[in-house]
Amino acid sequence: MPHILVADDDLDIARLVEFQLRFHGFTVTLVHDGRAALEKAKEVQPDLILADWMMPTMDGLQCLMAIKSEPRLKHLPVILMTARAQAADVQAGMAAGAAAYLVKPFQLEQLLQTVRGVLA
Amino acid sequence: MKRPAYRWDTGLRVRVLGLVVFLLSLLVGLGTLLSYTFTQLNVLQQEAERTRQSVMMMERAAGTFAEMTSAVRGYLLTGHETMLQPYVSGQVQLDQLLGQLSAATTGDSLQTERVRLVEELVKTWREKVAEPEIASRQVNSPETGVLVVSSGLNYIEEIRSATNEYVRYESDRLSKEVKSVNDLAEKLRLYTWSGVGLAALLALTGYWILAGSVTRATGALAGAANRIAKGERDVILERPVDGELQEVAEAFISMSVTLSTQERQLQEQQEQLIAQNEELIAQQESVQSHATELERQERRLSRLHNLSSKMIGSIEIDHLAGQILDEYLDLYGGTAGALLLAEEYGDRMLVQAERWLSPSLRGTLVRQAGPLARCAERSQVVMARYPETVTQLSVWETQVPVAQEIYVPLVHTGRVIGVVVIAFTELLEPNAEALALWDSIAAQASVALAAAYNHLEVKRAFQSLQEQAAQIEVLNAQLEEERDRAAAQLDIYLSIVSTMRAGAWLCDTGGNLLVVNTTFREFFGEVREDAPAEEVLTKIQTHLSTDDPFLDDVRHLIHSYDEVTEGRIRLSSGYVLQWSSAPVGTATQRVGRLFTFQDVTELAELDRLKSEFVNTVSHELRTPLTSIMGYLSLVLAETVGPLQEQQREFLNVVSRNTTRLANLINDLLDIQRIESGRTPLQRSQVCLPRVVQQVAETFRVQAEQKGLRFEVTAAPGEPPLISADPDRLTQIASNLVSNAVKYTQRGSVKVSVQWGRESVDMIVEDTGIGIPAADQKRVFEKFYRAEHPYVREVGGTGLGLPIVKTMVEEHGGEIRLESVPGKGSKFIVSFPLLSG
Repeated sequence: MPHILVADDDLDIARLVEFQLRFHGFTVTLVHDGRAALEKAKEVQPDLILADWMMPTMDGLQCLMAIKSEPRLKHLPVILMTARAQAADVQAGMAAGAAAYLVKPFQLEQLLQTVRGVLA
Repeated sequence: MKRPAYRWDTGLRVRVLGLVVFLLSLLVGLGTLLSYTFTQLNVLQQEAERTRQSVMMMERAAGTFAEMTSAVRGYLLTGHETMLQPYVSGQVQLDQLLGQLSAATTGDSLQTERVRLVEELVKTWREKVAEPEIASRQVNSPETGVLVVSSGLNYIEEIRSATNEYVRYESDRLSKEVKSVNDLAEKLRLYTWSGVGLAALLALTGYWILAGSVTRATGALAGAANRIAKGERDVILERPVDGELQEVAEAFISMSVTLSTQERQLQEQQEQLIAQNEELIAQQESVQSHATELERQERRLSRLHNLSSKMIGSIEIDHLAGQILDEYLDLYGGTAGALLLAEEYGDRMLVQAERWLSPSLRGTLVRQAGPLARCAERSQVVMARYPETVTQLSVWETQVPVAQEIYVPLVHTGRVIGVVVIAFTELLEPNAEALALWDSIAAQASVALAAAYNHLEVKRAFQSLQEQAAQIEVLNAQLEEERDRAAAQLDIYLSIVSTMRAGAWLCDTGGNLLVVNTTFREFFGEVREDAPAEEVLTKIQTHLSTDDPFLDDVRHLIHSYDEVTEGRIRLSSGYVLQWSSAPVGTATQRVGRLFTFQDVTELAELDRLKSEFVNTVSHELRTPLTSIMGYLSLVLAETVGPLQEQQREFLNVVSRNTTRLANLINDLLDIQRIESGRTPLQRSQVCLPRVVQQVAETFRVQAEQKGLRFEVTAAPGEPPLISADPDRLTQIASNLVSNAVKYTQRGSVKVSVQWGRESVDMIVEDTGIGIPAADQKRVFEKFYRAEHPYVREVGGTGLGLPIVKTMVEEHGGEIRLESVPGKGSKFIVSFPLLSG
């Protein structure tokens, strides 16, 4: 099953996402800040990264850009999760190379569809 | 006048020329003949000379030969050698002569033969006679006496006869030639005389013919001239003439034509003169009769003149009327009289003057009746006669014995302006002249009266003008007072404007500056008086922090009649100004446009803080909502264990309200964002039907699950493009379609796009609960929710339609609503088409 790296500083949301994905059979690794996400990604080589935008040490966008500049990681699809739903924000994320953009609050069904869509 | 037919003939000049040429050729011929004859004569003379020479030479030859024979005979006789001398020299001479002779006589074979014969004979003689005899003589002595002279004599005889023959022949010929020369000379004389004679004859004949024809032509011309002189006009030159005479004849003919034309003209003029003379005589007669008439008129005019000069002096109508009346009475010796003037309106007359009546009559009004009425109506002199002298005048009731009254109308510009009445104690029979004079006086009097009347009117008018002028002066004073008040008011207004906390810029309709106040100068610096709009705008532009559509807005507004418009601009100095613009002036007289600039920097800062707050709060709210919604759905999906019925029911309520809260936060963010104007439209050219179709289709499943008929249509053909932000269009369509599906329980939802010349319309129609008329305006207010059980059941934020309305207006479009409660609603959104 695909391996998904989830990064969110909000522990409740991180656990929720982990639960939902595991429930549907994905392998999940959890981290809680941007820098950890980048290191974990290098370590475990996941199939997909789900990253929150607002995180300590390195926010989601910076993390995304770091991944896209890392030769071993740049093929990795990254989905940004955020409460910032403004058009300008979405555009910035997409421009940085995000595979998809999930606006909080999202439905679990919506999360699942997006992840499957990106992995397909 | 008939022109003689022109007959072609040799001209006189030509004829003379012909004659001369003929005579010349005759002379040339004669000359040639003479020259030929002379030549011939010459030849003959030469021939004769030659003959004479040959005869001479032959005679000399014969002589020489005779000397030679003599010399031989002498030698033979004597034996002296010296005797032989002539023989020796004669031989050479003879040979020479004979050679010349044979050359000279070539051409006559007979003579040539004779010369040759002589030569032959001489030669033979020399060889056979002379030489042997001389030789023998030299050998033999003369004593022998052998004479052989006899044999030589034959030759000598023969030679002599031959030479004689030759000479005779030549002489004959010479004499023949002399004769022919003579003949020729004779002939020459004859030719000369006859040629000269012929020439003289021809010259005479030619002269005679020419002279004849000239005489005939001049005779004809002279004859014609005589006939013209005698008065005959239709002269025809019957005998045609030619050459110069033809020209003379033509000149003559044209002269005669001119003469006859002039003569006719003279005749006509004479007749005219006679007619004019008669006319003059007639005129003279009429002048004489006019003079008589004029004398009469002069008399009358002098009277009139007297009257006029009297009248001219008096412009006062009372005085004038009295004078006119006096004149009439004076003229005709009336007993009494009055002058009445017609009222301008009405049929009565005013007694203006009276004589020998009651002075109390003056100024009274008299009704028009009887002869007075007749006079006034018909505008003619009326005479009233009373068979027995009455004591009352018909018009005025005064005790005067009257036998006759005369009413004379005073007419001016076709209107009877008055009547002069004169009473007589005796009957009067005025003649035509008297009547004419009355008329004249009446005419004169009428003019004077009318003038006096006008004078009166003018005087009255002048008085009323003076009154009006006085009134105007009063009004002027009032106006000045008001003007001062207005000026004071304006000063107050200007001081208000100048001390206003807002910047103010007033320009006229052409954009030229009228007023700017101190605050405006504080914001944008000094501005020149009367500065045109562009100058002011440039000034403003230098203070703007960024390029702003404000400048273009102003350019547009200056020339428009738009009502109040407003907006915000940010200056590089940090000020935020709220500007507004409104037309100044009345509906009929536009003054220009006023722009005001209010310092809203603090307000703007507050706005910014507010939106930042809303943003942060919303974000902070959304994060916990994510957890709530997520875990709720996990529990409700029984992922973590089965739920009791009531637990499920309650958790559903929690879930529904959580969703509502999430929606509310989203809408709040949306509307805040739009209102703050911080995210300008990302305009591009958009095909509205395509956007609407995409959005609508996402609601199909939801609608059909509710059992609704869901239709999405677009008008056929190529849809026009509009300039719009596709994201916002999506949101507009989404909100409207979502509402329609949400508030419709049964029936259908129809989404369609139509377009016309100026706009593209999106129409969302449903058969839902509908909106009461009273609520139709309020549905676009924020947080307004209609009072309907179903509305509460469905749950909404009350922000969907306000967002739609704001977004539509952002695009310059408009939204309309048609709805009947219980039947359904229809939302029509119109977007303006791209111009051009």
